[in-house]
Amino acid sequence: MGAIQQDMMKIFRKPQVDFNCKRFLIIDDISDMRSMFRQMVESYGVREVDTVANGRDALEAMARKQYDVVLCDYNLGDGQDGQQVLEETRQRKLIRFSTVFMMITAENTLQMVIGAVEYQPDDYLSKPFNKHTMRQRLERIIARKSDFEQIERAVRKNNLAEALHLCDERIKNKPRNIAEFWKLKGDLHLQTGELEAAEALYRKVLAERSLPWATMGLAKVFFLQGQYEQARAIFQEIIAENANHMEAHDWLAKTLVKLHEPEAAQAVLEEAVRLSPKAILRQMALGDLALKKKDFATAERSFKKATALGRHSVYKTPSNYAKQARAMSHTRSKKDALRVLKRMRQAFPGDQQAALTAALAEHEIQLAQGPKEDAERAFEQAQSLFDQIGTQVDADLTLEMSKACIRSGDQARGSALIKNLVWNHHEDVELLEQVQDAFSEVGMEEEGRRLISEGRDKVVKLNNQGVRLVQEGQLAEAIRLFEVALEDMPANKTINSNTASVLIKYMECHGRDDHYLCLARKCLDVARGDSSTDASLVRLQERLEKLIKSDAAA
Amino acid sequence: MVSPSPPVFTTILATSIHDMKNSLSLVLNTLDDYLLEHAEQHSQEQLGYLQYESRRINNKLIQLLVFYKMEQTGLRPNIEEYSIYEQLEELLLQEQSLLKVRKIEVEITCDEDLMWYFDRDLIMGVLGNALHNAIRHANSRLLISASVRKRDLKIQINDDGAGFPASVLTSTTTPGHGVNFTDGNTGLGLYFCTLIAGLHKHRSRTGRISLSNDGPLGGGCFSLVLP
Repeated sequence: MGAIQQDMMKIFRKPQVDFNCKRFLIIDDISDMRSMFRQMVESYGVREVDTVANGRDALEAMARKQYDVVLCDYNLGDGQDGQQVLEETRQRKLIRFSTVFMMITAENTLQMVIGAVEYQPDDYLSKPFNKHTMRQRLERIIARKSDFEQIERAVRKNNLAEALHLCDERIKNKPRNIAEFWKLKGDLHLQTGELEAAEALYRKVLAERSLPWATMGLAKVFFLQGQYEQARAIFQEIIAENANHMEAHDWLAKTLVKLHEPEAAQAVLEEAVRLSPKAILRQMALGDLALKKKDFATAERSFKKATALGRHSVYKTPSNYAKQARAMSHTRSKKDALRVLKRMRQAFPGDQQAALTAALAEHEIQLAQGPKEDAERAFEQAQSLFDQIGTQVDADLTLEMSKACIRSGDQARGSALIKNLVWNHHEDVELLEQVQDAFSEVGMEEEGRRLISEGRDKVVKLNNQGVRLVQEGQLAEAIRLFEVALEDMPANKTINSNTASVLIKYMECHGRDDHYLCLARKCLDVARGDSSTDASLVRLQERLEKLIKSDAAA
Repeated sequence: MVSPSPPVFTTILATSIHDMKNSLSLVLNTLDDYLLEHAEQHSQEQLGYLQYESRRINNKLIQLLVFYKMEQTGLRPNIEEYSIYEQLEELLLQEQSLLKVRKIEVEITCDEDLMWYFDRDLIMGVLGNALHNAIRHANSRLLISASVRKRDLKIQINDDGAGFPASVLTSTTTPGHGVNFTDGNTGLGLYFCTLIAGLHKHRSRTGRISLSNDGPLGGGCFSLVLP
């Protein structure tokens, strides 16, 4: 153990960061505070400082200019709060990884401030703070980020194998902050689905010291492995130790749902919402759970909160309004419910999917309570909107549409829509469960099961046919088969991914073809969708890039 | 419909405290800047005194808020891993100008690679309190050390002053005992430190505070042990 003796002057190490060229953005609603911050950072040598008073201006500023440091007060008066600004900033990718986002809070309100776990600031600083403290923290964070920059870049390019490799390299050097690399490694294993590796890592860490992140990690592994009882036990333990652990509440609720204990799950979410009422995603999760159990009072409360919170949030969505209206049609009058739908249309002007959501919700409400003509009118409106939007309608809305068709007596159309849904999402377990529930609701359980299994079979058969053709070397025939399949199921990820794979293979043998290149690229985009962690798709992308760069076929 | 009831005094208190904390922070920052700029002047000592007392008020306000929180919602420590050396540096940075005014020399004995697990804001509050006291009583030297003893982290703040008065040494450090409001001294502060230390548990061990006068510099010795 080394001993370091220093006199007072040497303790304050020479500044390691040149703030001269760092661009700062200060977000605070109070002008005195903005001035104070400005003076403070200018004393560090910063020359470029912009200040704004609210979230809207902040986002505009970040969209226009690349900042190196953002200091944001959590309390910003009316409009978005600091956490909401952060969430929108990250979602819209308005700052780089190397940018420091520091949240200034009035006290240690960490747990209260935490919204979505994914969107956390680089650090919190509670008032009052010393300007030297702020500077030191900034220097540390900047240094730490540069430490992780390489790894982060690999993660963003979806090269998780590379990221893991880099982690291992760093760990070999036994740096001071080795635990941070272990933590990152654990996250990466979870992301790539390497559950055994993740479990081994967390157990190893826990043998030394019961660190909260490792305990959470292990519990997540159990959940992902389907060992819900064990997961439940750990999440409960975590909450017993730390009642404010929001993430643990969320996962415990998910686990209880899997254990078929929706009452308990709801209780957990209600507690979490009590502790952290501004987290819109959690309010939505609670609302969905309540709706499923037909607890319309709770659903109304949650979705009402969600729509209120959503006004300034990136998570603003028409379905929150629709669900609120649906709940209210049970707890209050039809008029009240319809008023919410009117507000929704005003909140999403010109948005066809929103209008469709409203029409479908209105149809359901009118069917239950209103005169038949109103219900029919709403249904016609929904149909026309649906046809206008065409294939862009997302899965949840399509499901609602099909439910509306069945309720209106248009069995044929309803079933056709469902068949389509199943073809396009034959592996989406949650969606298929919702489809089955929809059928059970209208007393058509058997029919539902049949449609689903037939639909899945069709896709699987087609897929197998295609794969067999490829194995037999009949690439051209395989391409033809998949192209035909894509007409029926354009959104199916498996079909799209296999199509891309065959196309690429074909071109690797026979030379590039512009039409096929275009098609392959489109297929990969659809296959990837919103999630980007599929290693095989990344590899396909790489091969595609290579083909694009190669010379045209002779 | 229930009409909103007037705010409870404790809520008013908490809000006022936040307010006062903010004002004080502006005062302290201004003082800091002034002191650093006017290093050679005669009024140093008086300003140093001003600064000392302001920070003391600030510490009290922080403690009050912690007590409030404990009573209202319960206080759960947010345990993360931190570099001890970095935290000690941060502590000293906060007292930089006061140390300069009082011409106190500080020595840190701590492995730069030492990492430990605790609630940063709470423990900084405890150490800040102790350091501030030590500065008050020191003649010209402070020694801060941190090391691992028997699987616990021990942080010590030693001064070369006259040491703690007997009354403080004999008061037991269990919450609620030995808090003497009449002499206006560290009773409540000690209680605060004990409380925070006690919140830190690992396996079967708990954090604790101890005071003594047999430190290496001959003055007071404040020890914080974290499991």
